Amino acid sequence: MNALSRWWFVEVPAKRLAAVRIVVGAYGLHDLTEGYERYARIARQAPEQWSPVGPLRVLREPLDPSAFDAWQAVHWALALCFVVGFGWRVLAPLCAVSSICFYAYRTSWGGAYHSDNLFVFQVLCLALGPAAAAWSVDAAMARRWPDRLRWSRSGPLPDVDWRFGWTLRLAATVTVITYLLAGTAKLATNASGWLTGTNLVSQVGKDALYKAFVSPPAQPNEIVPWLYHHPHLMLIPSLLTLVVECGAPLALVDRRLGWLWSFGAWCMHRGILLIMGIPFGYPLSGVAFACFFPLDVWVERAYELGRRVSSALVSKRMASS
Amino acid sequence: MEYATPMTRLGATIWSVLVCGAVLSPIVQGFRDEPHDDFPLSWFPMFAAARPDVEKPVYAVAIGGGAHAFVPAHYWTAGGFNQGATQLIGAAAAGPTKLRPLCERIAGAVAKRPLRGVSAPGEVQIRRGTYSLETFFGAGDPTPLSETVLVSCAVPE
Repeated sequence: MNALSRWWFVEVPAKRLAAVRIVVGAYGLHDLTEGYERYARIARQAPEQWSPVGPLRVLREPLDPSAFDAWQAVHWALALCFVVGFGWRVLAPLCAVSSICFYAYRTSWGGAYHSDNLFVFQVLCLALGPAAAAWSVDAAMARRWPDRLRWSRSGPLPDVDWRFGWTLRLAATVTVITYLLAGTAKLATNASGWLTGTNLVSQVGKDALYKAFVSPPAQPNEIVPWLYHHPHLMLIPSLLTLVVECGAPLALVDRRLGWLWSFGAWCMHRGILLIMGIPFGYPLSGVAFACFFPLDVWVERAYELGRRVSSALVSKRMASS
Repeated sequence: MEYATPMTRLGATIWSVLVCGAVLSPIVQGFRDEPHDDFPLSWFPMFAAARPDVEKPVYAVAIGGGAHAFVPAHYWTAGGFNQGATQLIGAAAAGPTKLRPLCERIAGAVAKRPLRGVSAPGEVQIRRGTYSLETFFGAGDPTPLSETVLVSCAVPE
């Protein structure tokens, strides 16, 4: 029990959690900014296409487009506060709830975007922890104006604390669970098809068939007819998919296994993009796996390198003048 | 107001159990006869289920001047292929109450925007085809085994 407790509540620097907050938040902010017009158009579809999911079942009908526009603007502002770490204690939980509802709203118009699930889960995990204790507006304000807006910030913590490590462990565990669920779904519904690779061929074919009819003039990937002549080749990616998904819990056992698993999962998504043309944006960006890596160490090394290079350049310039 | 009290280990443990339990809870869906997927609590069933030998896709076709063309999803949704295909399947499952308005919306969009392959579209049909994947991709024959018109509507002038 003590070993489990030490592992779950591992002490890490505040900056490690802050770095994950910044990259996860930046991904969300980029998605909202890049898709701002698109989300507004989706919210203006005919009400008969509306079929609410998750928390939005409380709505009997879709929001008035002007109400959605106001919500989207507020959500965008919350996402910005999340990235910069402002008003964390109050605004981060609001951002997490708003994210869940926002992407549920988009999904309520049809379609499943499974990489959004992991994104909103990770935002929720980060919002539960003190992710704005470093590299944030809150941290800067606490230094400069310690008495202002105290209620909106998380309480002061040491530079290295278990709360930072716990938040990252929670985010990593949730990540692993989502992949484990995907693997379990495959084994529970069609184990023989996945263990022999035949189901993957059919899935690729079904997806390509729909694309031929619903997104013309795009034609199915040329690899699809070729795969139908060499179906046995899909055994390897099929088994690798099961290894990545069902073996996901191993990523929590050791940090190097975590890195290896992250790379394997990323490769799996690259393969899906290559063969099926389906972009799982969040894992493909790599941000989904940020909680497995010591980003703060990388940032500080990059900073140190930049500092050395700039001071070397300055010395060279002074010597030459 | 003062700072919030920092999270205790007990509080962190409770949150951990709640969050992990909630995310893990849809696992039971995989073992049910009629599983249900949701957002954000999903059992991630993408690509999991066995596919039949023949697929029955639903699609929209514009017809006019002796030609016909498949209508791309962006004519009726901003949500891309995924949302477009789901809306067609959902409408086909729901029947005329959803099919008719969707068909009319697609016809309205076809009237406003030219569609490659049909210069003067007069009608839009939502069809369900029956295709053998082996024949379609393996033999390279795109002819459906059968095709049913679920609904048709005129393209407005």
